[in-house]
Amino acid sequence: MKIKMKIKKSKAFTLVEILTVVFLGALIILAAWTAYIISYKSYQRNSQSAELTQNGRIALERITRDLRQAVELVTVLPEDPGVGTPPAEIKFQDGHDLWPTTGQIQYITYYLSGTDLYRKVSHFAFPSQPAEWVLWSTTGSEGTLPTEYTDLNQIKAQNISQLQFWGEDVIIISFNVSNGTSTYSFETKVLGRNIQ
Amino acid sequence: MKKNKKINQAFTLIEVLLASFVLEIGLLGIVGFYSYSFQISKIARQETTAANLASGLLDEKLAVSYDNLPIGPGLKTRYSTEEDSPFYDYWQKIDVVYITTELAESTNDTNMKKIVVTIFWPHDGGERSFQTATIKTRH
Repeated sequence: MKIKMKIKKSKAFTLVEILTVVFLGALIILAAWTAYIISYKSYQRNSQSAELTQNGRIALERITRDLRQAVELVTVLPEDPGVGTPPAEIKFQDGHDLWPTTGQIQYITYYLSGTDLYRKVSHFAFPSQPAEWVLWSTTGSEGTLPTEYTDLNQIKAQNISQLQFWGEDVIIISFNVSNGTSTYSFETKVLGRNIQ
Repeated sequence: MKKNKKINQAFTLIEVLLASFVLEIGLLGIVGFYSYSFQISKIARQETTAANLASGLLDEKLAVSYDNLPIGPGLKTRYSTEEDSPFYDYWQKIDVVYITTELAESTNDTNMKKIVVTIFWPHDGGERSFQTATIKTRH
């Protein structure tokens, strides 16, 4: 009697019990793994999308801010995107007083290099008088145009494509931001407050 | 012996059902948050798009002279009528009213016009909107 009871108390798990436990454990681990993968993918997708939006927002903000103050457009823009090919870059005379010289004539160019948006600050001068910054359209003694010198060239946004400018009084800026999987379009219109 | 038996008693069906139900609610909540966070970033992107379209329309109206800017509520029309445009689903409405120097609306010509631009876009069966405004004065 005593022996029988002892045997019953220390009875081991049966094979079926262990199999069931292992199976259930595997199910739980699989579920947890799937949940982890889903949350990781969702996080990646969201942060990539936010990154793209951020690039588009910054690109538009930088261009509109400078273009609003522009004094004169150098780039010739078509009135309508259907008529001719709208240029993928824009150059205009800066309306702000910028570092390092204030009150000097400077030009800003927004252009794409690959999918990177660059903002270039430059000035025009004749090689014989490099200290005298002139308008881009100034003609020299023999009808020569001044040379452009770059003062500053910085990358402002990435993943930009299809950059286009058009319009007559109101300039339309249009581009896509894309990372291969998602593409978002951005567009705005800017009235150059100082353009005559 | 009897006491021992009671300790080793298994869960009842009700207990197991209740526990798994509570767990399910919790899991569903977590899954729901994923789609919610995705919705939030989508709305943020659409608002950025709408804000840029709206400020573009404001600039377009600012380019019009004071006298050529008609007073009254505008029609709600598509931002772009071209179906392949990425902004085909965005709608615009431009309202112009006279306002006083205290920014109150007026029916008389006060030499100040307030331009209100609203952009609408469909979202999740409903509609969302973004509004911005500026003032144009007679020079």
